[in-house]
Amino acid sequence: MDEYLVKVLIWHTADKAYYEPGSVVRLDHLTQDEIDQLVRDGVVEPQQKVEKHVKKGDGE
Amino acid sequence: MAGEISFSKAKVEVSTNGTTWTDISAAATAVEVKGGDRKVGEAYAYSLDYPVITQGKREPINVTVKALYTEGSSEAFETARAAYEAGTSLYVRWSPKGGTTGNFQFATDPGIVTSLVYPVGEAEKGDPVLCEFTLETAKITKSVAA
Repeated sequence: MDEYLVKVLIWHTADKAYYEPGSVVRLDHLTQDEIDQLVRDGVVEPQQKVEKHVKKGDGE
Repeated sequence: MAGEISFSKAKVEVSTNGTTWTDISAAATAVEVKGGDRKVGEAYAYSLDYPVITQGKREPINVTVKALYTEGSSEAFETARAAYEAGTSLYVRWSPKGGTTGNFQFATDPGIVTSLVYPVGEAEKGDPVLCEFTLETAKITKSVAA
């Protein structure tokens, strides 16, 4: 599931809670179009996905 | 211009704790906000032809909600009456565009209900009975529904 960085104070309609700027939230209850609009409006920002690099041992 | 809106589809909610909100849009008929002016200081120096202006604090805000009088325990009148009579906190929140995704909404800090208009009316008229309450609060905070 994608996570989003909150840029302005939001009322999360699924969690029924306020999230301050800087919080990281999921928006699984919204359509992609709704999320895209929130991103365009500067309300949230997609979190950069961090790929996990697994270091293999010498024997592999 | 684009994006003009009326207040006709606004969403109005009340809460006794700021977390659990009750939608009273089916009864609410008007929201009014007064006060909140920022105090400004001024002084005149001999060498200046204009005042020195300094910024003060904001004054309290009064929010008045007018609503149809109904008797449900969680509806507008009973919620406001209980807070008024007990002297407990009441919050009001409204969204001019209706509170859907991306809409702005404005929520009061915990407020004190300073006045309550009880249901009254005249025998000859068939108008709906109205009530209203005013709460005094420190500030109003904007958020975005998401």
